[in-house]
Amino acid sequence: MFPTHSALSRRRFLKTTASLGAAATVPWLIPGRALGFDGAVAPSNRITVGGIGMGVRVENMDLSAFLTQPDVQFVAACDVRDCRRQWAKTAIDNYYHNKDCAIYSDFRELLGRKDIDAVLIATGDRWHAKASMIAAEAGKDIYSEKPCAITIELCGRLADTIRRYGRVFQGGPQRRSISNFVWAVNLARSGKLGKIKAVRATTYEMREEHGWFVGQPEPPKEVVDWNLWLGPAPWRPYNAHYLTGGWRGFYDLDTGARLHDWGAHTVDLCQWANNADGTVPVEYEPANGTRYLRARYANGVDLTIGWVGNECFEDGWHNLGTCSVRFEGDQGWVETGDSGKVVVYPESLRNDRAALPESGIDPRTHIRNFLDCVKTREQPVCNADVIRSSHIACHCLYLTWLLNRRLKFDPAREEFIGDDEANRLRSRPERDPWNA
Amino acid sequence: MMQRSFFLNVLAVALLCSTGLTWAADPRPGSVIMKLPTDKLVELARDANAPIVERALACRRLGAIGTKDAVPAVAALLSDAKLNIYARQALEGISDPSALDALRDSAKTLRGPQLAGVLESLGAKRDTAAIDLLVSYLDDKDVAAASAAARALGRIATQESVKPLVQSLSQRPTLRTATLDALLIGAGRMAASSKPSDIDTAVAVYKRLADENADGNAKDTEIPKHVRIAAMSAIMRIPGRDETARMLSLLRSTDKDYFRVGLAAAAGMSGAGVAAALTAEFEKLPAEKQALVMVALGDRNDVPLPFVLATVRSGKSPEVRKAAVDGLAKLHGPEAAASLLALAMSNDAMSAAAAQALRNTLNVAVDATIVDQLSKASNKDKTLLFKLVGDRAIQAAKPAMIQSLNDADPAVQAAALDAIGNIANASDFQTLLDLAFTVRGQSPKKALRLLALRMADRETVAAKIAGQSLGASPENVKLALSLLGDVGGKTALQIVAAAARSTDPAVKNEATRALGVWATADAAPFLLDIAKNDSEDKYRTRALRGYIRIARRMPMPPNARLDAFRSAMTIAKRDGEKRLALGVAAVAATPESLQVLLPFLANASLKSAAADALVEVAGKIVQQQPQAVHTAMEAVVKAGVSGKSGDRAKQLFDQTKGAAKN
Repeated sequence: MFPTHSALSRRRFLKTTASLGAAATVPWLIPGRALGFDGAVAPSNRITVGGIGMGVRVENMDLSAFLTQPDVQFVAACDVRDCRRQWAKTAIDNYYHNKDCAIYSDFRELLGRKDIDAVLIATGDRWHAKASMIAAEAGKDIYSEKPCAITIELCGRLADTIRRYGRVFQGGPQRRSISNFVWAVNLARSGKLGKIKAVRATTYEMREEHGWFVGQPEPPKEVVDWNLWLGPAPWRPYNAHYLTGGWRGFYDLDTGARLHDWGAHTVDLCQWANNADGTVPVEYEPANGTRYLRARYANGVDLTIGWVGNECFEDGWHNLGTCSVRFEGDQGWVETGDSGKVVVYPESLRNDRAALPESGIDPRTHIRNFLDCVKTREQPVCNADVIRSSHIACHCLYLTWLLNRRLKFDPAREEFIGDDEANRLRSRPERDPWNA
Repeated sequence: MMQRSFFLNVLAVALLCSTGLTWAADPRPGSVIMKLPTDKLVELARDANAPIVERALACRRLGAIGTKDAVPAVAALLSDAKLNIYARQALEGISDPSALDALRDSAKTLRGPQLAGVLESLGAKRDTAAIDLLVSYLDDKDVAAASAAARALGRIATQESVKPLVQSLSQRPTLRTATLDALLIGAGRMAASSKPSDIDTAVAVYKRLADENADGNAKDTEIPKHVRIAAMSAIMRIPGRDETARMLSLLRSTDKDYFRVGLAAAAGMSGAGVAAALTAEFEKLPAEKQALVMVALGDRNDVPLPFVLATVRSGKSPEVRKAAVDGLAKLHGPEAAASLLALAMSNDAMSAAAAQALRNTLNVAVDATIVDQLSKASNKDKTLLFKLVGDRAIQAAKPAMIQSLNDADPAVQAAALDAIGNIANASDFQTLLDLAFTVRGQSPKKALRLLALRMADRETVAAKIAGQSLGASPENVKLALSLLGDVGGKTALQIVAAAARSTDPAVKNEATRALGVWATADAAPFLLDIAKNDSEDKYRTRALRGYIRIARRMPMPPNARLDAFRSAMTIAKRDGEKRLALGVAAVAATPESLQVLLPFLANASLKSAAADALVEVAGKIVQQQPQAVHTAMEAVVKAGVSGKSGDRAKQLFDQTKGAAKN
């Protein structure tokens, strides 16, 4: 019998990188970082990548992070909007000084290319899981922006599909690869804070819309393919505002009333710090007028999520930037956030903090981890099983907020105990059979 | 004139025509629909004159709370191209059998995407009563519908649903991807079943997809490699099957993808003969494969110790030997522990790797082995052993370590002192306190500090440190004040605050230094007092900076923070401190922060810092206080601030123009 996929893969990942860091005699199996890339990589050794969804996230963050990896060749870009396709082609061709980047409006054409090893999926939330699963079925490895799955049921299906096809999957919560967060998590996991009692995470204030924008005439399909933009989400009339971020907050298009926007990072870090990858809290408590929700793991650890802001928690919150988290043990605590600052008690635990090389939100290290795993076939730090549990924890918190009542959850069965309405909200049908 | 009359007439006609008309009603907000009771939702779903968005939301809500009473109304919408998805949402949520009946009935008449969607819903519900219906659609000329039927059959995952998929595999190339996926889904669910017949079916499917005849040779080159690999991996994961030969064959493969499948199996496959087969195969593999296979063997915990030790000694390459050392650390029992420790204490090239492995190994026998070795080790080895004791926090080694705290060999004493802080507890506090005040060097002080910071009873710790420092040398008083600063708490604060008023410059210097970085906000009044009243500029400045630090970083209500800002500004003489203080008002982030910051735009040397703070506050409160933000940003823009803050101020100013008009 096998250990679980995530346990096996992460343990082996750690062992392999630790024990074979200098094993340059096995170049076809060793990560690029270990080989110490110091110049051009032969085209035959490069990972060919295609991008699906070339919006502002890609423009601001992901594309340059991929392009600057010496063993990546970005060969194709896909977007349902012509303006974004053209932008992507120009950016990629300019980088390589050629005209080779192919562009597509339908990602299934891109997936049909046998020369593409991996895809970056950076569409809106509604497409992430579905596109990832179709990519896996086409034999591609996947880096998917978060939130990676819009319902509890999809979290499971996504992880099952990735496992079924043995693909390498990295979810977008890149703070698992950013040093100040990793340091804080390791501190919690090391036992130096004593027994962990509570973990805290910040998220956006939750908000959800249920209606539609008024309909506008649909542009020609070559300009914007509205049907493909909607994808598996329920039909609604076209409105240009959706295309530029206006979809955020809508039940059918966004995830968890915006909880997953930061929660995919911060709840994920709490799960990690609590050594709870592979499970989720079992009890949930609504806000009841406060600015936070509470949950409890089976091991007794409390998880609290507070709306991001100065005073989101009542007692001693340091507000260290967006995505702030705090881990509290019976012998100390640590808090950090996107500012890169770390507050730790007792101060003696800060010993090696000065040696940390980076902080911030740059996804480069996270993407590097993905690319290394594409070569070694290990599973990355934010693999589909990790995403499954951390996203489900967020979904349970969201449903607690939505239904405004206490919920109990069975992590093994991935269902609520004694709450039919909550259970029905675990899944949604997908519009149109995109797998054809 | 004629033209004017014409337009007036048209206007009059238009006004007459509009009399008695009203605008078409806007749809009600979604939040209203979400609160309707079930019967109203059913009415709404049925009402062809209702706005389509309201009918859609009614269906969606019925998916969460609807009963069989809702089924006829929503089933009628399955044929609607736009509402089909919402109707499916309702029917998938309703557990009454009539919902499945409605889906099946509609599948007999629908076409196009609506049909495909309904077939997907039947799969999602794992409706075994729909198998024949779904099988009939495998031949449908509509590829989307046929693919949906295939996938639904895979999700249902019974003998009856999976077998037709196998039969259809070679019939329609356009359905191949969907059928392959359906088969993998179906086989996966059946492999997890407790019924032997289901497991047999799963194995048969996997073998078909792994592209094998009975002799293991390929027969269908149309099956993509990644699907073959998926099937092979799945077969090897099924409990109770001997797949050792397949795993070894994969390890021999020259294709890296197949080798990697074998590697994963080597780590995880159970069975009595697996480890023996792997160790036999190991010698035949090239060194670059051996290194990775050794890592996999390390995961198994059932590889014989002699094999691992032999590989440690004479592996084909340093990487193989290193992997074997890590493998040795994965084994349990005293023999493995002794071997690893002996290697760490040797002069072998792998000794450092062994020492590192000893720090992290989960082999509990290692602790006892180290304690045992301490009693007979040479001084050279004791330094390593004490380091390991500290890293592993081996309490049983404490007597030996306490004994060595005064060892004649300085290296041994230093190693013991370095490590004792990690394993000492409250009962050892006085011992370490005495050592820190009597033994020269940093190690005892570091050990004491580590212990002091771990102890929960801060007040007692502070009192003991203070008692020890009475009549102590200046150097030890300095140490005591520094320790008290780290420990914190009420007692420590009172002692350090009193020392900060000392006439002894050395004591005062250390005490104000400790107060300046105090970890809690209760040091603020003491710092403020020094900042206001001390006779020396150096201490006033230090205290003021400490006060500002607390006001910026510690939790406190916005009003208290603004009071602290005003106090700091009143005292501050230099621009440097004033700039820091401006940051306090920025952290408070209220409309009042804007008011107190605005006057500093007129101060040339503080303008830039004031603008930074104003923009920071504005960004935080723009949603709640757009008008106040607009006014403040207008002032920043008019002040001619350049750079990032200037740009951001302009942006916020533009963003809040609407608020200004209101």
